[in-house]
Amino acid sequence: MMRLVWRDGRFSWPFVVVVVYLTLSLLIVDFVWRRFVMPFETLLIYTVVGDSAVAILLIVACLRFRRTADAKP
Amino acid sequence: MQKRVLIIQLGIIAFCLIALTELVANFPFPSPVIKPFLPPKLRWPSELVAHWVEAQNFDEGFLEYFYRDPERTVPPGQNLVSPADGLLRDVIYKNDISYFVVALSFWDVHVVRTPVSGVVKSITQEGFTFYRYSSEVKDQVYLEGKAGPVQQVLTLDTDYGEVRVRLITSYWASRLKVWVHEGDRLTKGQRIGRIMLGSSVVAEFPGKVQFSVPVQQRVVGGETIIFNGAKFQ
Repeated sequence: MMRLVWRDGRFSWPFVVVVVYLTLSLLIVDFVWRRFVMPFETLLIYTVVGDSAVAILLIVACLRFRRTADAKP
Repeated sequence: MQKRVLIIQLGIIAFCLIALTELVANFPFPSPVIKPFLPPKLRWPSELVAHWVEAQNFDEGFLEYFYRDPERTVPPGQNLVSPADGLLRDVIYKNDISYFVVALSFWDVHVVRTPVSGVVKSITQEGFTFYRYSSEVKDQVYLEGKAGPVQQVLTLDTDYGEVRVRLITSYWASRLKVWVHEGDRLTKGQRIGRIMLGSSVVAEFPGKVQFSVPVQQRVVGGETIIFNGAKFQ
């Protein structure tokens, strides 16, 4: 479990990507909420669609990471 | 190599933490990270500017925006132009004087211009007064709903008769700057002063004037024609 956060004297890249993703998504939602006048439900739908796409990408990235890690001697 | 990667990662995580801290610390107002991407009205919401007015402490970015003074193309010919940028709040006719009341918001250009060519006859200042009862403002109808107004009044001798331009602000903002002097000959659309923060500019014309701009329309100082013709009647 710890390897998901810290490995070989540095952070694991998936952990850094998750931190960046969470920060950017918060900033983007805040920006869209202020910039475009839209009902909260619409904003929620866009957020869910965006988050789902990113979640799929993360799962794919994690699977690839595991495969690479397993292949290491 | 690992150390270099760690430094890069720490940099990225530190940036994210700072961005999140700014987001939380500035809530409900926009964080400095997204401010550059927002239009002025959303970048500096009115509640935030009102808070600055009370605290007398303004954001430098806002002040830089507020003090902008764009060039204007003054229309040629016999006409009158709007004295300021903003919303035409009201047109009042009382005691044989037509009042053209422009309301300025925090985001409008606050440079005031003369609506007509003429010579500055006088510049007077009217200080801070609380108008508590509507009867107290019956002679100054444009002050209705304003608490503690501070005014500078320019009287101009023009071809249309005696025209007054009234710069009004609140006691809390109370910063009016007039750049012209008595005896100065002004051309139409020339800059005459500036009001610090949102308030009103009232142009007073003798007689009943049929302005060409409907109430609640936005006007541009020195550019929007508010009356066409060489005479009012």
